Amino acid sequence: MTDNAARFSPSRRDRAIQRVRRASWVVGAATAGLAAALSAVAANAFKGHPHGTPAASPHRSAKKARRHVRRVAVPGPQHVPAIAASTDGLTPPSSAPAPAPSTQPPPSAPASPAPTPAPAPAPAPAPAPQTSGGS
Amino acid sequence: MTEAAALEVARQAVVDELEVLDAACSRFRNDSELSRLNRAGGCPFPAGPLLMEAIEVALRAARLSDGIVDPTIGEALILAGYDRDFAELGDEPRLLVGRRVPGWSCVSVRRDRGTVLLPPGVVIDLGATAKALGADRAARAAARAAGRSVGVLVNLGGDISTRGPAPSRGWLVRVADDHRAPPDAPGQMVTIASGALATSSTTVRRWGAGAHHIIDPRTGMPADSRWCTVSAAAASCVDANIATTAAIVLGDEAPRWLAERGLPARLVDRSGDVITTAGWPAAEAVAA
Repeated sequence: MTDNAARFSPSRRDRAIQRVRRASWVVGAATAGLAAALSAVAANAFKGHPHGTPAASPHRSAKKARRHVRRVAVPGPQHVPAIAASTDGLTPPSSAPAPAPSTQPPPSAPASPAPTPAPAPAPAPAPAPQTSGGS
Repeated sequence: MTEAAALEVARQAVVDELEVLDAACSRFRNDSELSRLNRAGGCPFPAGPLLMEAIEVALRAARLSDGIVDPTIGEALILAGYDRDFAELGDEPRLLVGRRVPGWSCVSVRRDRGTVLLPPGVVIDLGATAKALGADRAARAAARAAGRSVGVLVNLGGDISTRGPAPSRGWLVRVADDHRAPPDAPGQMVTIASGALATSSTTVRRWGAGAHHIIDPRTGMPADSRWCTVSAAAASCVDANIATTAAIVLGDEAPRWLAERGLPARLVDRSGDVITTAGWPAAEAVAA
């Protein structure tokens, strides 16, 4: 009876309770620390997105943000050449049409008799005028 | 021709060229390549080199005119009454019904395979460009046949194309509403040193109650234009004809459109008033 009384004395019980509390606190703290450590390891183990996107870090300088955006490959818009800017346009003539001579030059007729020069070769007859009109 | 001796060989070259063009590009010949292409909607059609060139020229015209000169107006032309050779058309009035024009971008050309693909129901008409292409090709063929030192002018129903050296005073050309106009009809006499000259008009090739052959692709109907006749000069007859056809359809915008492209042109409105662009000589009515 004496041995049992000594073994289950209130003071010993209180010390045991304190040890259990201390152990619980240590285990809880260790668990929290370990969970934090494992979370950090897991977060860095697989890089899903690059760190520090402009949206995620608004404090970054604009220069850094621009440099970052340049690295992102964004397909450009479909290239559609503008008709107005086409180099293959309608080609004007090398010279505009000219007014037609109103009258044919009169055949040269010397006003006074003169020595007859050697006959020059007759010029080729001018082609007949053509008509451009609706058809 | 600047040399009469070469006339016969040059004329034969022109005739040969036109025969093959007609066999390839006529909408009124049942056996032409174009007619067979129009019947082959939905299936790739193996086109010969000349039809392929003519279609590419027509598509270029559409691209450069922002769709104003469109080869897919064939069905609209047929609905307007132009369903057979013009000589066979009567004067009976016909109700004009607008038809949505499919648009040139639906034509698929595979030059590497030599095929053209039209969607079912699309009918191509090459009237706006094929004759001008024929004039350019015929002038080239005639000049080749006659020799390089010989100047050549080919006139296909008012579509004029030149090659080689011009006569000393230039090629004398009279512009009028109708290429068959008598000498005393209103018009203007000009000279060209090179290149080409074309005229489009709504005063000829008319039928029924005011229908004509220049279709506005935006409405699918004959163009209701301010201009009745437009003549233009360009480096090639194809380009000149694209300009004149587009000008008729564009209406009020035409003078600015032509001037921006540096194309000398003469535009005659319905009342007979004349406007010129880009260095075309001042209007001088000729009434011989």
